[in-house]
Amino acid sequence: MRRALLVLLVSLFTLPLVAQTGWVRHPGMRLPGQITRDANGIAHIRAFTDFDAAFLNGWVHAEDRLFHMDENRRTASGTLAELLGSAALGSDVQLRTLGLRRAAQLSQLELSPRVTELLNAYSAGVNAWVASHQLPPEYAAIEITQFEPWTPLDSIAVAKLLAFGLSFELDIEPTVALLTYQGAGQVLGINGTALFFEDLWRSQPFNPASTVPDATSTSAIGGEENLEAKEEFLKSIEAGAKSLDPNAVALAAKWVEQLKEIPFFQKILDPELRGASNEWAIAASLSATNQPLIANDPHLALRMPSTFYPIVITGQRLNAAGVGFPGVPLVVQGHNERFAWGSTVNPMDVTDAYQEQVVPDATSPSGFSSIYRGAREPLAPIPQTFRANQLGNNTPNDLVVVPAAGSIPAATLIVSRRNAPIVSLDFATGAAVSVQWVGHGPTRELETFAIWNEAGTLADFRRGLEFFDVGSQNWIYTDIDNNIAYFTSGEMPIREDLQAGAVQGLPPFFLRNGSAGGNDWIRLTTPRPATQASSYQILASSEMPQVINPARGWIVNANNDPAGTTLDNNPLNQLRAGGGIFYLNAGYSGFRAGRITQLIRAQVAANQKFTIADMQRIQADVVLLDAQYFVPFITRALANAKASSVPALQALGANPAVTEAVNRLNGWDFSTPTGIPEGYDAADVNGTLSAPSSAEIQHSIAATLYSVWRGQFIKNTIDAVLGAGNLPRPSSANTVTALKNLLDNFDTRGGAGASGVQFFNVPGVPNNAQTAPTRRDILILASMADTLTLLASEGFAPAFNRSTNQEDYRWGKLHRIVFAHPLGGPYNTPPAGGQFPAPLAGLTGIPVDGGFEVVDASSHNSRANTLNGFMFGSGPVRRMVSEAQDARINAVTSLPGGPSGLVASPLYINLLRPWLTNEAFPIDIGQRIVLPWGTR
Amino acid sequence: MKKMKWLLVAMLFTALPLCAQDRKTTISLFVSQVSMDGGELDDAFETELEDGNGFGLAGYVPFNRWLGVEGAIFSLRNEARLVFEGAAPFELGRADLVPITVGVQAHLTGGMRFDPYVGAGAAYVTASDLYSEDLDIVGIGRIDIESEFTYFVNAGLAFDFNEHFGIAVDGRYIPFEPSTQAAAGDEVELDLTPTILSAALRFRF
Repeated sequence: MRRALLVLLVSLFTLPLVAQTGWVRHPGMRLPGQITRDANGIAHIRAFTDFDAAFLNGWVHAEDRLFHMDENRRTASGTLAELLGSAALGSDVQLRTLGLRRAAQLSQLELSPRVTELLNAYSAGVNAWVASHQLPPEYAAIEITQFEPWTPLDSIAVAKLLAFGLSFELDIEPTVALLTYQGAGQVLGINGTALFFEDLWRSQPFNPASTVPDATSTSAIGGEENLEAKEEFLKSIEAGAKSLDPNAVALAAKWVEQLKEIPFFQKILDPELRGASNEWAIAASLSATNQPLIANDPHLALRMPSTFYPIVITGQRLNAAGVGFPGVPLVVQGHNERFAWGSTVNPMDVTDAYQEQVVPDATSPSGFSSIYRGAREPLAPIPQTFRANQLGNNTPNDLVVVPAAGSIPAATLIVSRRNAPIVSLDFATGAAVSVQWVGHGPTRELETFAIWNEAGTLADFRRGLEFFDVGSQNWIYTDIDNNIAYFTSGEMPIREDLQAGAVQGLPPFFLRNGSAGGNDWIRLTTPRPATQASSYQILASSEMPQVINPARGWIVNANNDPAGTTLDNNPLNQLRAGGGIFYLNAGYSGFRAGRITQLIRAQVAANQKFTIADMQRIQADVVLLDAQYFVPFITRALANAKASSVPALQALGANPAVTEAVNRLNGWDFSTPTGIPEGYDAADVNGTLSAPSSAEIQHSIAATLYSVWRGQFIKNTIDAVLGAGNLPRPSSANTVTALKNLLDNFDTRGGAGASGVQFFNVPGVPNNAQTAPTRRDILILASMADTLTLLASEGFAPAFNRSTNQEDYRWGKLHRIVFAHPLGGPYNTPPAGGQFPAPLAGLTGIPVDGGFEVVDASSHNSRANTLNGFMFGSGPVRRMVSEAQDARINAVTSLPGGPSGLVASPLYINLLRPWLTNEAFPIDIGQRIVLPWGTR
Repeated sequence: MKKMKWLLVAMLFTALPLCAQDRKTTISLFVSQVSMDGGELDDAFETELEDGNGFGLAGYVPFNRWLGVEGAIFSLRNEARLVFEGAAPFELGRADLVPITVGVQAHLTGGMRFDPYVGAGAAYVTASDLYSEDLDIVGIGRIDIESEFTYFVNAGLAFDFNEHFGIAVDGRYIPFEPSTQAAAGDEVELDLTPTILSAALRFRF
């Protein structure tokens, strides 16, 4: 009794001390640890052991982001409806079918004891927080009072989800487009295959920026265009397309349409929302401080709470600062004591969709088999039970089982040969589609971060890369030894036909034939190397694009072609050193990399050394690269119109509104400021708005005119042709690239593509009645006239009040963003629970500078033609610049949101306003605890 | 080290009866409370030791009414912990100390019934290894504490009930700042200086 009293007294005495210093020892911790919050509310964790650091990592994630974490793990596991109700069943069915949690279970078996211990500690920290606190208010809104304890598998599933979002892609829309074009070609007498490859879905990017060739002054792997080889390639595609079953293609197309209804998949399938990023490195020789610099800004969904969670973790070996994902321990992008790293998505083709032939088979456990090379192979069944939260009945935790019927399957069927789920099946015809993704197997990305969260050398960084198996990334690196480097990671499967030297059927960026054989990934026939997780043969790490300390002193990647394999518009004409086709991906974005490369080259040419401020200036760049290309055509068209004797063109040249608009583009610097006092621009300082300068206003108006013109020009050229034939349209960025190609070749082809299709047709006038340049100029200027009509229309009235005064067309009225929360309403920003009122009356969202494919990513669809069509939803979820000094990394960063996911917390959006104006704050690693006796 | 400790004890107590043949020798049994210093290890760390307890045995042989020689041995136990930045304690384990002291004792009243005394002399202190689960968790492991020769001072007050029995209270200070070492090999000087407050039963023969 006395002892108990003594303990109580001692506790009462010491508690205030603990509260003051932040040292805690929650149940489940091995030793005390410390959580302190800096001025930005960012948690700094310090512990004697890595176990306790990971425990507190889980604790703060739960404290700040429990609902976000739960949403992530349930999305990954296909149990989101148990949280959000039956509206999420579609997502659950698809993700359960695709099997991310199944894949996570396989990954768990491959994890090292160290990572397993960190995951256990993290889970214990999450659950300790939940055990000692009430659930956050989001749960009350959905009538949930219980939290299913967090497990290591949940973290691995969340990691899988992230990897999936960064690497999964479907080849079905291109397949549908190719087959449709080919079918139309046969009817219309044009080359449908060339229409796809040469005209509209080009592999060649808008800008030739390619990372390794640019950094090293070497030529791209692709080399010169070989017309003969191209002809052969197109013929092989024509023949290959015949191997596909139209039923399977239709089934696949229908499945994709279903996916597009699901918000999670919209982010993956819509190129404007899909993950992207920028990164570049500057060598010490080009740096003002003689110390190397890197910059990185990954682009993901701009949402509430913000995708990333900023954190500083210091344990016994762990010591890193940067950002992580709620639900997963450790820093995934940031720096440690010796090196800093960042990443961009490397769109490597690690997913194949297959047409399958399924037949009833009483001997199969599922009752069905697939046909492979004429033989039956049983499909493995995985029974599924779906549950949904019954919302709105005031009954807490009211989960009901959803009976299997219609779109709710009783089981998932797996093609065992390739561990590929059947994603769509027509029982009547037996046609089916399966999907094989590298991430379906065991992968070990968390090992990478466990290694990188400790101090190390370039060799350690490369060791960590070996474990980053899926969710392929381009990595940018610098260290205190003055190195800069670029690596690509991820296990790239070797396809049997490509390795044999010739595509069988269609290439891997289309639907493949799973029944005939020849399109499979090659299985390992030797024991799996320790550095590999996949059971298939993969590209060796030495074959992956990479460069260390390049001669030029700079490296750029922004999801562009890393090795230049697509610059000749053929991604399949490179060979591996030991034989076989060297294939990475069908195509890449070239816009942002092109602009960054342009800016770096200009500064290098001017002999100006780079500073952290220069890196931030490039990150904040909102110049439209495509406008640099297209605006001269517009201004020339007006000049031609003024001098023309063709009445239609002459009339456009005489149109004062068109003339005024084109003249505005003449003096434009291609930047995209908002031009309104309510708008957030890089020119504003630290989140505080200032009135736009007159130059900003003029650039803003030009940005509006051009951005709307772009969509109208696409409408009047490519889409007019495709619409007439009811043909599929290429993606937003592909279309702009296609237009550039048509104009590049205008002098020789007169606006016709390699397919023979003429894209420059003036409505109501036969093409032979006007010269090609005249038709081009008419369409260019008519698109501007259409732009002005659109901006003065009722549809744009909430922004411009039907004004015809071009001074009113400020870009900020159109280019806006809502940071959406899954629960919507007050959780969105604006209004962030009243913390960020909507700045513009009658218009949703926050006006921000930026635009189509600018470096400071804020892109919209190039076809945009509505009031809200220019809004954006994806962009830099983190900006970072790091300077590798002699003994430490000096880093600044910013985030769109705040550490907390609680809408009532001031930390919900405390970092948002500075992010909106491109400010950054310093972030440093913690001070590791050095024990007096040293450690073993 | 332990062998040497017990050898000294054995010699001490073997010698006492020889002295006692013509002089009144006193044997004292101590029950002790001990506090140890602890203190800063570096800018961030300090050691903190809980008050502990122990017991002891002493023999005293007078030269005359005023002076004599005393030999004593104590076994002391204190829980030790490491404190980081003023908070965040973790356990170092039990500090088991065995100080052996030999010194001169002066009796201020010349052997009256109330017998205040002071003393000083040499001490030899041994300590067991520090070990705790916490030390294992952080990878320090077992901490070896080196034995050390030092000095001691003491003072006390005795009261004799009769010619053979009495009681006493005794305070004893033994500076002890040994070198310590763990598996990683870094040497750290640790302040374990005990201050021993004891109550004793005395037997004179």
